[in-house]
Amino acid sequence: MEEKRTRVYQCEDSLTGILTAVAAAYRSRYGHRYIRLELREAEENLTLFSDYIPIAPDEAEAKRVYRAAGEAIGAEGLRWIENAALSTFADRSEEIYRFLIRGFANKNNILSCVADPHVARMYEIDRAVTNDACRWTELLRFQTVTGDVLEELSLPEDRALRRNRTEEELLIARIRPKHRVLPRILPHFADRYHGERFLIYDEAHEMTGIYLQARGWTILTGEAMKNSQIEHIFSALNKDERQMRELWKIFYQATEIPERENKALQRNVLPLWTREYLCEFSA
Amino acid sequence: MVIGEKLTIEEKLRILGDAAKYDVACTSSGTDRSGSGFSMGNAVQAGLCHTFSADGRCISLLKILMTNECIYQCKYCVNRAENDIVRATFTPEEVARLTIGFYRRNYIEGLFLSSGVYPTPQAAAERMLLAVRLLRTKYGFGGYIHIKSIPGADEATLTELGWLADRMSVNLELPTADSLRALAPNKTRKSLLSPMRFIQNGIRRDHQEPLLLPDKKQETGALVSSAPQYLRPRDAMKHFVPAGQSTQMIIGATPESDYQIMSVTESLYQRFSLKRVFFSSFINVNQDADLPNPVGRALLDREHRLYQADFLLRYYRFSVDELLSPERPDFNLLVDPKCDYALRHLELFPMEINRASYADLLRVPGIGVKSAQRIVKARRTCILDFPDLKKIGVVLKRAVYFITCKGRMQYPIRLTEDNLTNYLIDEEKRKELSGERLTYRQLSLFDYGRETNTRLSM
Repeated sequence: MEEKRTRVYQCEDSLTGILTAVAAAYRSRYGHRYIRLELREAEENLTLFSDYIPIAPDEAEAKRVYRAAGEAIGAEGLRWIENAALSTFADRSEEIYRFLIRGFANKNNILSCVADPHVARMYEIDRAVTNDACRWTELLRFQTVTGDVLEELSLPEDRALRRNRTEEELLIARIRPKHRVLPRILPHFADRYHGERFLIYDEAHEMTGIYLQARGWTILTGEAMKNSQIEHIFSALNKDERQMRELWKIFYQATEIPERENKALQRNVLPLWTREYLCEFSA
Repeated sequence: MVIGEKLTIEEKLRILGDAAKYDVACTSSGTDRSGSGFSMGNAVQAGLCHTFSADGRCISLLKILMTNECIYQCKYCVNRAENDIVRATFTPEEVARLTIGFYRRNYIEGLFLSSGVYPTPQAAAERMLLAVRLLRTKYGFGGYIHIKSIPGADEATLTELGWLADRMSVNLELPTADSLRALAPNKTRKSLLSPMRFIQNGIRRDHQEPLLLPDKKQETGALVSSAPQYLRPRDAMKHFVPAGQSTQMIIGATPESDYQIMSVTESLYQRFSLKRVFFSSFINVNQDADLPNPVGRALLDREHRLYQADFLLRYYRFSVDELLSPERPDFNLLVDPKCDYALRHLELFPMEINRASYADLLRVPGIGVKSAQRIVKARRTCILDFPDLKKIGVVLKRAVYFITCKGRMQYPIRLTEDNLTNYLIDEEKRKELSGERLTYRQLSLFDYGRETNTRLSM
């Protein structure tokens, strides 16, 4: 029997995009063996004897897959898929696809089938994203600025956003996570500082999360903040801010026990690359 | 005594942060609380570590003393009355402002407040209460608060503190009553255990469980109807000390063995329902002639072994008598307590991963609670092999000597205590002990007292 040509479904880099491509793969009845899912922006080499089919994201189609997946693999399985879509691993679309095939075929206990290489990989991805989110929940540092900073940003012309551009204080923070963890950490901070207004900027992925009290949080992707603005905004420290940083450094130094010094352990739990925005390590 | 009347907040923070650093507990775990209902702040069950100091310890809470003035003369303490050091006292407003300022910037999870005893225990407790009340009411703070209870303060004050805090702790200070008498003349075993029982009963009352008698000899679980009922303050949290209580002991200042320390720890967990017992390696801050000057590294290694054993008690269903005995009173510094246990009970191993019960899996070195749970779940759907275990998170480096998958061990290994010990001794430890290769047996050139030689006195 003649082998079929491999089809590569090129999907958009989002959960909606990936799930739409999964739906398309199922609908085509071409056979999962002959289908691969790739991200449209992937920098991988094209293969010679494959057909490349771009898939446009379709909200309704993705929702249908999402709902069906929820029934098959449960809430935790859905979280795995969401986290995988937020990750920056190159194989995320393909792994979500393979994982869902197994989930739909074997509805019980798919999450504990670690002997399956694709389930094991999804488990690994989920852990990586969860740990990254946890790390940045801990290491994120806010600083206060006056609210007219919002004015300087090229934010979309949202009326509610503009109404909130006042002189009130605003908390801003920047992070550099490995994965796109912003949607995972924003709810935590929205709960913790629900009376505040804050902005978190993910430098690695150019995403900006904004929380404006009762309006809840939103995430803006792309060039919400221009690189030239960022340094300017974050380095302008007001008097209050300078004093708090000074106090924090004093406390940080006071709390160390010199007799127990163990820099290797410190580097182990707090790697150097994570210290970029921690004021206790800045000169 | 130098009294700093006009200290700035920076100087106070330097002095009182430094004075509090020997308190070990910096955990922010045990409570899950949403931020709604507060102006600011929530709590996360597992706790969060916001940074780590140069000694590798996590900084999760703003750990400070209310004051470092103290009327007590505990020989191990840097703040004892006779020491000539700068004394400082925070005002409640300063504590609240610092906490809020740091918390708002996500530097900390909350506040750890302790205090020197001055001028009386009651006055010290009241000053702490003012600060905590201010935080919870005026500032509407919903973050984590750990309060060091002051033995000797009024029960009504302690109760109110308990309703506002997440965790409370009373330091046991030293493992035995004799040591306490020798080093802390103002404290007695009873004066430390009764506030512990008081907090325990407060939690039990909140959970509507029968109360326990204060006298430790009559712990029959009887309901004590005569126990005074204190009113719940208006601005109380939902539960009384929701994250439970903890304590800490200084190790290395007095000659107790690991067996004694662990036995005390076990009974604290069982009889006082503590959440955590912390160990603090003794540092002779006062250069007191009555106290030893322990060598740093060896004592830190010992502390590490005690913590490992503490986890075995709390999560791995071990009892102290399985780990140590009066004849073998100290932990082996070369291998961890779990490996040590396995090496002395080779009759239990190798264990078949696909069949062993959950409780048995917990006894295998290299398999933790999470891995054991995952193994039990995973083997319902498939038969596990060594590569799968690696994916699950099992530390094969240690586990391979004690397990079989599908009836086979990964490598052919002679299962004798000496042989396995040789494999399991930490590479670094081995290098440290002698420049080159070292075998387990070389330690005893003359073949007497092999048992006692297993623990090295460095």
